[in-house]
Amino acid sequence: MSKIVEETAKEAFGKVTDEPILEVKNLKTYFPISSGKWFNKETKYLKAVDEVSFYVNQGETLGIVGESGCGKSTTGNSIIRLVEPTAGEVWFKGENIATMKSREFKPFKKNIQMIFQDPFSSLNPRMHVFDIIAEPLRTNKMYQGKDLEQRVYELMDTVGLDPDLANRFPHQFSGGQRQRIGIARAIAVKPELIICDEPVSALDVSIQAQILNLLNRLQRDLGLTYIFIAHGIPAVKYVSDRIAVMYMGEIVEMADKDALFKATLHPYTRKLISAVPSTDPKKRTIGEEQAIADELNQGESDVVGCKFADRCPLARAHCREVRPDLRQLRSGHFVKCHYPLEQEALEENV
Amino acid sequence: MSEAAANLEQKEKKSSSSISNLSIFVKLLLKSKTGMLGLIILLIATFVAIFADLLAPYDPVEPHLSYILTPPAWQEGGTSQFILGTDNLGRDVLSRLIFGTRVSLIVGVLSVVVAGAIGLFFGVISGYFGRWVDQVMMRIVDAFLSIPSILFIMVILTVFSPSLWMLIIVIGLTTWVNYARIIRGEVLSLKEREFVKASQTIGTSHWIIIWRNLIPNVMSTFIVISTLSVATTIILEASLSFLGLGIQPPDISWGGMLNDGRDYLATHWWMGTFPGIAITVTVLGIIFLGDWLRDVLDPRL
Amino acid sequence: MNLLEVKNLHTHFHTDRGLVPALNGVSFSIKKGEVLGIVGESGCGKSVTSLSILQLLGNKGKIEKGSIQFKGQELTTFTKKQMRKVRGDEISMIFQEPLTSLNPLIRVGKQIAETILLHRENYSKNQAKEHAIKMMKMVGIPQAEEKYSQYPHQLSGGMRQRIMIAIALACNPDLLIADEPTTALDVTIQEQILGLMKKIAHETGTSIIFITHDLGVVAEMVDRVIVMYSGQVVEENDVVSFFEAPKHPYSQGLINSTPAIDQGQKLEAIRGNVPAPANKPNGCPFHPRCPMASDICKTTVPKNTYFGKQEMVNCWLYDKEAKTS
Repeated sequence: MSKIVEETAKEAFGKVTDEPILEVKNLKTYFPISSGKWFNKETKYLKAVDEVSFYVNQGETLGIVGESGCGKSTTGNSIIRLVEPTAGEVWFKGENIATMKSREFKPFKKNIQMIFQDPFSSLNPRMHVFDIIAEPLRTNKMYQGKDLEQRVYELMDTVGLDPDLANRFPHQFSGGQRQRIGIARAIAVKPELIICDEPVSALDVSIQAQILNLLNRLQRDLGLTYIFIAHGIPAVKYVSDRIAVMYMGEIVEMADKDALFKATLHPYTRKLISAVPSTDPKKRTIGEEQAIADELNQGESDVVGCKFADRCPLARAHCREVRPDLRQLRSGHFVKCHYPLEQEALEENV
Repeated sequence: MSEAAANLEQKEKKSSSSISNLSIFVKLLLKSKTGMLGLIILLIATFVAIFADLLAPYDPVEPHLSYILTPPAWQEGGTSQFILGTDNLGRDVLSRLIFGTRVSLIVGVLSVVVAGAIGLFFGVISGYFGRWVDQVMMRIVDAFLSIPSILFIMVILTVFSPSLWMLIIVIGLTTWVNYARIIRGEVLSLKEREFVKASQTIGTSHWIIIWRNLIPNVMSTFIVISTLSVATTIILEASLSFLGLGIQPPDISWGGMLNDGRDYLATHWWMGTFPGIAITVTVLGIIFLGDWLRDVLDPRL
Repeated sequence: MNLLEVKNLHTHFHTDRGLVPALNGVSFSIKKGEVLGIVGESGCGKSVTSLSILQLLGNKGKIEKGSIQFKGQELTTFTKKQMRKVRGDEISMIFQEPLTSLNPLIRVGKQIAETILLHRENYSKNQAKEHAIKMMKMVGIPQAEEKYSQYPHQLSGGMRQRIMIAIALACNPDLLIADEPTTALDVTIQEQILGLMKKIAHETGTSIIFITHDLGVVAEMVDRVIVMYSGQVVEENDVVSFFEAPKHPYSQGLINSTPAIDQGQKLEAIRGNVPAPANKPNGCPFHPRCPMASDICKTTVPKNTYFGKQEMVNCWLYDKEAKTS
């Protein structure tokens, strides 16, 4: 039965996708962990990304949320091949960039850029801001001499930095300004897709909004497509058009933003959303101590059934035996669960 | 609106950080007494080494046969002609000390250059490329580490005739492994930093990443280890000369002078003591400077 | 009577690169059983405030002026030995990163028992162990007896933070200072820890100072809020009125720039950057970023304006004299 569901999911992908700029199919990134024995070594794998499939449409923002260790950053790194994926396909504008030789992949690097989390470690402390922003332009031989200068100043202006500061070193800037430098570097080569890996989580609250608004403005002005990876659910909600929720290396739910929050299908998504404290003190949601489910075990274990079953309040015997597939329940709303929430409500009513 | 915000940010910044790095550097140096002392000692030593010909009162190899084993000037029997006395051949200890500075510093600095170059190369390459490259290169390092260095040097120096250049190369060849290991460790953590990843996502070639991102960032560590190993090399050279494997007469080195003075230590203390003091003071000065450099260069700057 | 009363606290750090005034006249108080939230961004002095209370400022920091009254005693006059007795017994603290604040080489249960033995001389080792296991059960650690003899790295982040809480509560303190206790944790684990802290506040009547930058956590946890900016308290209010009608432009900015899970409004960012404590602007420290700043804000530090007993704001907009003149 699972085969059939998979087929329908694949078909569905084909239908919904209007103009996908990026399509990820069954992406797997495993890291070997050697077991303790000296002889007779059997290699175990940490399944950081396990059969992940999704697509991103031109000009939209796909948010990827999940808790630490769920594989969201590894997914981003695998797309841009900072880590080599173990298996699967990544289609970018009609080419499978996951299996290309690195020489063939090189021209694509220009089209996919990345914004990193830590504005303190993502800039080379020994380089001037000018050189940091110019590096991608020089590498790709896009501008030279006066044009290069012009372009760097223009980029600094675009992200809201004074071009007069081009000769400073990164440590002379605050966190928010450094993140602006990182953004200028990412948009320098006019990419189409930018993977933002936790771009605001290291910043002060009042600076986060500045950066989120800057990203929004750049998307509008430059027609960018974003993959926005973060653990902060409110921030993801703010910037994303569609959201994918990851749990232990898998996408468990993916839908339009509103559908995800209003018609949540996966129990994990519901748990995740309800755990976020509301900013209204009259609507306190967190109860006094609930039952403790043990926390995730980093995806090492070889669970046969659903990976969330151990923590799921609604798990049934079937969940522990058979791994659910990602299937489309409504148009554009995918879920990896045998007993999705709304259906369950229906069944109970009957 | 965010433009306005940014402009404002810049205005704040402009006022705050216009002091240049160099002046902070100097200020910090003036604050550290030991660092300052180290620098002064090293500067004096360098000065002496360069202008040895002008500073030395006598030719260091010229024997004054009527003044054999004259004690220092302030001791009974001493003469103001030979302030630190003379040795068993009647050569002026002060002049020999002054010329010995040359050998010690040259050996100290140049073998560090040799060791540093090899070590930096090994460390950066094996740390950055990892996998089998790392495996192979680090096994070579292990092999070098497992040979007792003094034995290795002695074998080489008995096979080839010991000369200044031979000494430098041999010392360099035995001490580079320290650099390789430390630099490799540093590179291992650096290459996980996001700015290296950022360069990779742009498509920057490996060699440019190494040149622009890695080497400048290991430089502070490299400078600190280099300074400190100048000190150990000076001691190593002295030990080798003391064993008779280092600088051969008539060239003069502090270690050689120590060796000469060994037999006379009980009766004519000045022959061995002054070169000993020279070694101690120079090495201490360099260590002070190195320690201070570590404090200054470590945080960032 | 207030359990803790901090008045006009000035804490300065004497660093290699000059004097850093971290706190400039911080005043607040906390009643028995109350949960007080201190909100602010990096460098605003919220952590320095808690370290000043415990006098854990290291050798570079010094309380220059002001008083800290705890249960009627003046803590600033206490000797190091007296402070050691207070810390961990009457006032205890939970830090952000549970992995670095636990000793990796000592079994977690023993770390709790050691705290007890340190402050309760009449306890035998066995009694301390029993008490430690009781604490572990209280903070919701399953199989407490087994977990007693595990090492920190064998526990998950949430469990480690529970151990930290157990250590902090082991001697039944009057005041618990929690410095960003859930910032390093995942949101579902944060939910559990916040729930646990609610239970503790409810059951033990311990007063809690909750230091955080997360407005969601504030809304969820505290009774009263103080907002700090650049070493000063700029607003003090009860939590409901704070979120409904924030008075200080900075508080307004913070609330407007925080994305909320249940609202879809456009974020209005506060312009500019958080000033470093070493180079603060003249006048009101917030004026370069304030959309409502006028000339007086650039030159003169505003006075506190009080509304009843609970509400205070440090802003010229609310100063009656300034308005009339």
